Amino acid sequence: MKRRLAFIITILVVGLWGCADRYFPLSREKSELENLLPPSSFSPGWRREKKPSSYNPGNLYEYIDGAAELYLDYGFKKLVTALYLYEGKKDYSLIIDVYDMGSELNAFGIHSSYRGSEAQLLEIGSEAYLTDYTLAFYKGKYFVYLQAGNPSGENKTSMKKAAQIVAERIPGQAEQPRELSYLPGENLLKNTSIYVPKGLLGYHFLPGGLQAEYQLGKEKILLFVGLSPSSREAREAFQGYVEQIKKAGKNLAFQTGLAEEAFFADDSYYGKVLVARHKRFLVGVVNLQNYKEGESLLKATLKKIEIREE
Amino acid sequence: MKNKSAPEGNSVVNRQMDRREFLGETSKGILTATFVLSSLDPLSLAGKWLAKETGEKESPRVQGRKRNSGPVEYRRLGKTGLMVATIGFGAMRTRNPAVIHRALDLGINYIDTAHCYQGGNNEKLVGQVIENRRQDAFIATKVHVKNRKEMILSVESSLRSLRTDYIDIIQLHNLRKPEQVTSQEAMAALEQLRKDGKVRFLGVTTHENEATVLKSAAGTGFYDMVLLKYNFRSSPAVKEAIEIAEKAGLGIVAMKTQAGGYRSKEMGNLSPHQAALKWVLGNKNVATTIPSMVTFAQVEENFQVMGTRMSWNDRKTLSRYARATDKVYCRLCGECRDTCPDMVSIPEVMRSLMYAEGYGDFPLGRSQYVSLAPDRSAAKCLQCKRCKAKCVNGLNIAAKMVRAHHLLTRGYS
Repeated sequence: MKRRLAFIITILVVGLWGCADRYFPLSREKSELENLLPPSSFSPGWRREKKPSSYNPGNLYEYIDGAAELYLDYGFKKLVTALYLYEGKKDYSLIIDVYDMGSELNAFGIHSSYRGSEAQLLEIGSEAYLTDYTLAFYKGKYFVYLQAGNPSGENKTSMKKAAQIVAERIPGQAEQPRELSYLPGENLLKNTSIYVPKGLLGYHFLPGGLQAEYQLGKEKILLFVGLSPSSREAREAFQGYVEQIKKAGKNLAFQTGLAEEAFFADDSYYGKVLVARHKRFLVGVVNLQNYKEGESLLKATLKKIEIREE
Repeated sequence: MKNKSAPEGNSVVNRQMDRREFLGETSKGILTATFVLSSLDPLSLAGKWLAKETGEKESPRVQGRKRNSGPVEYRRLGKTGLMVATIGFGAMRTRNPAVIHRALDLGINYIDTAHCYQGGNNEKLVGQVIENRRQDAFIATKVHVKNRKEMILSVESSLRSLRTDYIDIIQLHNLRKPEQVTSQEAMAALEQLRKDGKVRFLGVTTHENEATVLKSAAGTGFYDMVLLKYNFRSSPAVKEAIEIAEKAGLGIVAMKTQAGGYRSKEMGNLSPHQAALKWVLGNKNVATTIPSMVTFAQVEENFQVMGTRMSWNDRKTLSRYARATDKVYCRLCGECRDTCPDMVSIPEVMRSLMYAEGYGDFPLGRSQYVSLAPDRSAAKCLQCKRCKAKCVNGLNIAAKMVRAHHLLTRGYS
């Protein structure tokens, strides 16, 4: 009798365990994120204070106030955050935030929003940077942000150690989003590549995409690559830019031979611009001193896109 | 009431008139008048008076007359005495300096940022803009309540990022409780910063428990202004607290004025944004607002609101907006999760739909939706005869799932 009861209980426990994932996906997601955090005592002297907290798009404001809007722009899905304290030293603390951004491109996007052009880069995850108080990196769909209580060397060492643990716990290889490979490497200024989720250049009719700065001679110019979901939408964006130039620019001149469609023009906000559309991509160079200087960069970008997309 | 628009001739003008026409017509007159009356310029005199009354720094309004458009409405920001355009610039999501330049060119003269936005990059972006036109804008930034030394270091870092030697308004960031408002450590840090000339005016920000924080700030007599969440969905208690605070001399700045910025098909071509802003500015105790602006189009749309009043059509629009969003606005509370026996990821589908419809970001909504595992998407809902999913706020989940699937898979290949 006892054996039969034990058998039934075992079957029930195993069955419930197996169904847990199916019926409690929220707790599964939460524990997935929590599992990426370093263990309570990841380094001698450190321990995790309380249980980690989690936030979703509906209540992210409670944690980071107005900054939440930027995360929402980038498709934020979930955050788990934990506080670590160092025993005996009051001012030693470490906050670790792990953001699930839904995709690698979004994770890069929010990371690139935070990374300044003078950032000191580290080899953690796909790209990491360190400042006196913070260490941030992204890997896969995760953006990880660590904040130290003070800028001591000990805190920095601990931040690096904790970041490495989190990076190792995130499954998969540390790679960059494939869209970044559209940007030519020559003359690209360090730490200037960013991903904007929508409205490149601040124009509502342009799609989201990449922006990066290039040094051409003495001049800095801005390259953008718009990533429309389809050719039709890219055509609409191109036409939107043409209309903008007609309204508030001058010297609009359509070009043939560069891409499926292209124009040179003087934009009231971005000076001389050269814009071309290839399939679902809208490529442009702005802030040019003369049209010719941007043409080779634009051609190089179109070529890289063609190679990657074939 | 402290609704002081700019002196005649530079204030609210006939909205029927095109800006170019306005400039063309007025520029001739202004040239002549400026030549004759330059020494008696009322704006200049007012600005100098304000500067004398409120501190050493001259008002941007005085020197910011290079703007290339006329109709700007100003109100006094409480006891700071600053005359601020009723539409300010919320910079937290802005990535292109050109968009801020455009706003300043139009005459918008209040920029809101924070040390923590974009990891400090947002202040740097604002600094890049104001470096060569500091006189055109009042700068408001924020500091978290910490110990005195850390707060002072944080503000000094903000000064470097903003490329300026003074901040017009420093605000304690995101306060929820009265004891945060009256923190002696924080108040001492702010007082020190003001004494050292690094900041001119002091404030607090709140978007939770707003009425209590507001009354508490008013009670101290220490602060000059409050930035709070205020929109047409705010409770009467908040409105009442605003009145008390304003009477106590606090300048009132409203944020999150759009109540979610939700657009829906049920609204047709009507945009509720302008009506929502007008509603906020209809409360004359509010000096300015800081709608978040990312694109030139948003700058233009918000700018048009200045100097206008809620019309019957606006009320109708807002009322439709409120009704429409009541039915469609998902609060993302997550209570519906697990209520579908077929395991459709309802909150994720809802969020995708919100990106597409609420934020007007269709590509983002679609990319979120198609990234869902096929067995968790709303495709199953097309065949479902009897939806068992429940929304605690009464949303029609079945209809929204079907709508999301049709909308977010349209034309996708």
